[in-house]
Amino acid sequence: MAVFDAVNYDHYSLLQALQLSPDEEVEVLNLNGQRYLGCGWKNSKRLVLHGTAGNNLGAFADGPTILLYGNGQEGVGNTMSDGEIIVYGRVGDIAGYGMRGGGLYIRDNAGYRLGIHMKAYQDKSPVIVVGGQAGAFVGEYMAGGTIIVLGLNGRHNTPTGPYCGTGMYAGEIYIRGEVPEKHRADNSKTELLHGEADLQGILPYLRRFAAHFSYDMDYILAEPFTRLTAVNKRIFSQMYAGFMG
Amino acid sequence: MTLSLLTPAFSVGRNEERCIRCGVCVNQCINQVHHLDEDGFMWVTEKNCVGCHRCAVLCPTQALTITRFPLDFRPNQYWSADSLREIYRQAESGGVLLTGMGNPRPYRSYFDHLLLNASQVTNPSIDPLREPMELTTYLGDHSAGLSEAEKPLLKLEIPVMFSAMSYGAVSLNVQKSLARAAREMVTYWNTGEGGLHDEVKEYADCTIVQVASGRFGVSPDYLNNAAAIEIKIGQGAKPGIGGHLPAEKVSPGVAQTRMIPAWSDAISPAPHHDIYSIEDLAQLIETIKVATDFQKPVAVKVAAVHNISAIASGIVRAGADIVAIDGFRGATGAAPLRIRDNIGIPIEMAIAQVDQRLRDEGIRPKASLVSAGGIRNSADVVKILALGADAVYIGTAALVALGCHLCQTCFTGRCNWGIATTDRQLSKRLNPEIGAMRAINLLKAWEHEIKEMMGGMGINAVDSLRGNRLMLKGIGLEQHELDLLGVSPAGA
Repeated sequence: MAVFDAVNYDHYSLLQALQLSPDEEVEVLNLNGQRYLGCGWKNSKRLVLHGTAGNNLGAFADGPTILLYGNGQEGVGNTMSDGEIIVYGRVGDIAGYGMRGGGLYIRDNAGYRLGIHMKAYQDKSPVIVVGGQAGAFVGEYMAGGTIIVLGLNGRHNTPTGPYCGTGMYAGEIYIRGEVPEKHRADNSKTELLHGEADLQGILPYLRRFAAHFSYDMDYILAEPFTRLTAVNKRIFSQMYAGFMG
Repeated sequence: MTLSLLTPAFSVGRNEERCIRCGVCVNQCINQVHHLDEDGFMWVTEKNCVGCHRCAVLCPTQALTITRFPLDFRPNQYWSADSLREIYRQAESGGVLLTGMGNPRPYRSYFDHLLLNASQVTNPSIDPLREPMELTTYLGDHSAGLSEAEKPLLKLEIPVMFSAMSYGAVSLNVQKSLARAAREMVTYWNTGEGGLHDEVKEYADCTIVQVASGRFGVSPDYLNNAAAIEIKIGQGAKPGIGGHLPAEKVSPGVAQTRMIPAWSDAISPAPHHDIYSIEDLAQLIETIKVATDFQKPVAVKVAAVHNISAIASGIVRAGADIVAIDGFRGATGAAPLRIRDNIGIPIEMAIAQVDQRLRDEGIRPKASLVSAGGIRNSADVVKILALGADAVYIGTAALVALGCHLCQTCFTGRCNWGIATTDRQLSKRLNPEIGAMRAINLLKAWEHEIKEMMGGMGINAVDSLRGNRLMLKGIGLEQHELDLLGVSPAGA
């Protein structure tokens, strides 16, 4: 395993050194906001990061496993195709933007517009699990995949901000606890789910989350979950009138 | 449903002496305008006619005429027939009016108020048939000093590229036609925001791939399977509005290319939610450059809107190698009619202003300027280059070369010319071999014409034409318009 101390590199030379390293596992120490780590990586490498990762960590990634022991900033997993990003901390806005495959596991909170434009296609179905809270507009324009927000880290009414699922037309959002009416988008319906039997579809994701961050499954499942899905998959179909001249 | 107050838009005339009842019109019209009954009578359903001329062009005896439906409202300079018909349509549907192609309104075209120079006596003109004439254009960042590494550039043998048109908005055969033509002519075609279909991946060396807000089909392979990457912020036909491919056009092929489920809507709203500022744009540009190892130029496409020169300056400062500006005549597969017809500014003004602003700020060499939207012919190309563009994108002109008759109903997906459709049967009507040949013919003809116009001015390299406003004179323009364009009036 190659170990790089970020202090010894300027920004691009660090990215280049990581890119060129032949090792299957690469570790970086003392990160201090360096951007674009693992960006565009199409491989099955394991990137272990310590410190604070800058914007667009793992953007466009297609396959690598990225472990971040620290916080991430904006755009973690932006337009990611495949692979797994595990953050032992919090992340900023638009995590998982346009994500179409792989997994994003966040131990603490996520910012605004989590999983915006997330999509699924054939065998590719992305998943985001957030242990803490997420900001407004979770799953905006969502077109596939799964977003799970657990709210395990504090006492609050709901783990997500307002406008949850705005403009979504496919995919599923699971929120541990109940979601107040005012936080839900117009085009969404909710179901309350209890325990393993109801949550079969996402149990593998929850188990993975629990394993990554040493949570007890029974504790996670002790609360009911709310599932948000789109009512109308053609949200704009009635809006237009073709003008033939 | 109440009675529609809309009369047909077009009238279909049939010369009964010429019609041989061959049924070509019946088979060719997907809108089912023509019907031949078992007694040999031909019936027409005129309200279905969109005026695409497919039947009239293919009729072997020229028996068909398509004219505007002869229904004259009482003359009224203010309330035009269209303004009444638009209200009828909205009153019966409650819908946002949807249309296709570019802004058709009679706003002033500055191209038609600019005249080109030619040499007489004092400076000899050049005969392009005998003397070498250089049209080679390099797009990208030209600011590197002698000691610095050169930035990646796009090489064009003719300063005309094909505009972004996604597979979904247009048929795959359109993309194949344009990709082949681009390779043959050493220029580029643009995928639009609909991903890259397997069957056009082989054209990577002449492909520009687009990244838009929906990020359809965007992956490391997609970014690397191209000569350049274009971030689409906006387009001239619908500034401030995003893309929305209706589920009807998301065929299995389109779904595979965009990597979304078939027959679902494909929505890419106007904002990229990772871009809220010039600094954010700089980060997306840098992210793409990192993902492609700094090997490819990155373009940013915006619509020509108010304050375009300040916006373009920001884009260049954000690190874009190419700034593509799409004027208000730019076309689209589908746009709300009010947006298409009322938003944006003329490309001539935008290019003149942006070129001047970038020069004033000393950053013009850092990026190339591509003009899109409303280029109809080679004279428009020469004029916009003289106003400051490095190259142009053509979309409408390219589609017209492939057979488009500008009926403006692309949004239906029922294009009788096999262009703005994803229907398998309709798509077959455009043979990519023939389409490529027609697009190549168009570019070759324009190439000759551009060389002749340049030669007439005594200019033998396109580099000497770019931003050379002394070659332009305005005719019939007000002083403030001349000032904005940076040209003097004819006769001065």
